Amino acid sequence: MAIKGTSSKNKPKTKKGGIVSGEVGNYEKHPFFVKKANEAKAFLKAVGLPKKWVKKPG
Amino acid sequence: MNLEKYYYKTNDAYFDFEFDSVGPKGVIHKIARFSSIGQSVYNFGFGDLNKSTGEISDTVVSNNSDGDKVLATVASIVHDFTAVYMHAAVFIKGTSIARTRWYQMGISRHWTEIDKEFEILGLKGEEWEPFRRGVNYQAFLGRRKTSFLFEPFL
Repeated sequence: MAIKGTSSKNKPKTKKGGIVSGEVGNYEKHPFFVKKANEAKAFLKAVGLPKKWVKKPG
Repeated sequence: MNLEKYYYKTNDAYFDFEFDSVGPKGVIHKIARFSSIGQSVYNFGFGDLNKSTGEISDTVVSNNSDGDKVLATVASIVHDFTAVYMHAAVFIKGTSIARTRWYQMGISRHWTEIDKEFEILGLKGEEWEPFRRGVNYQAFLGRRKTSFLFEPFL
């Protein structure tokens, strides 16, 4: 299961350069990023993930 | 890495990032987003936002004379994202060969620092291999050095 949507309260405290701001939108459904994500998914489906990063079946 | 970079903002989820590139062509609003495309695998999307139309483009060549600063900001964004999502793998592929080379040059230039924290693979032909300077790749996958294993990509 993808680790997304985790509350920031539970995130590790590491030094970051970005500032959290309510002004930044959620672009999840923006057509540009939807298209890019679909292209990337199709690309990775074709070439696969690196073998050493993937769990062996069973 | 203490490189000059732009001030950037993110939302609470750390999936979306924004900053302004400032140069001879004016102010260009940049948007980056990590889109989930598999179990803990995220596509890094990056483009220029036209605030009038709401359109985002990654095909426009900005020529705002700040390529290094933009690249340093992108690197910092990836660093931030993977600091929050420690097991995430980030897939990066430029919209053109030139754009993919741009990412590659950035990785190469700062490889000593990147290699300390990240495992970067490049796609050559149909095989992923550990990133090597001077080799041209079609795409990149990066993650923090970890033993985390992914489910097969379906």
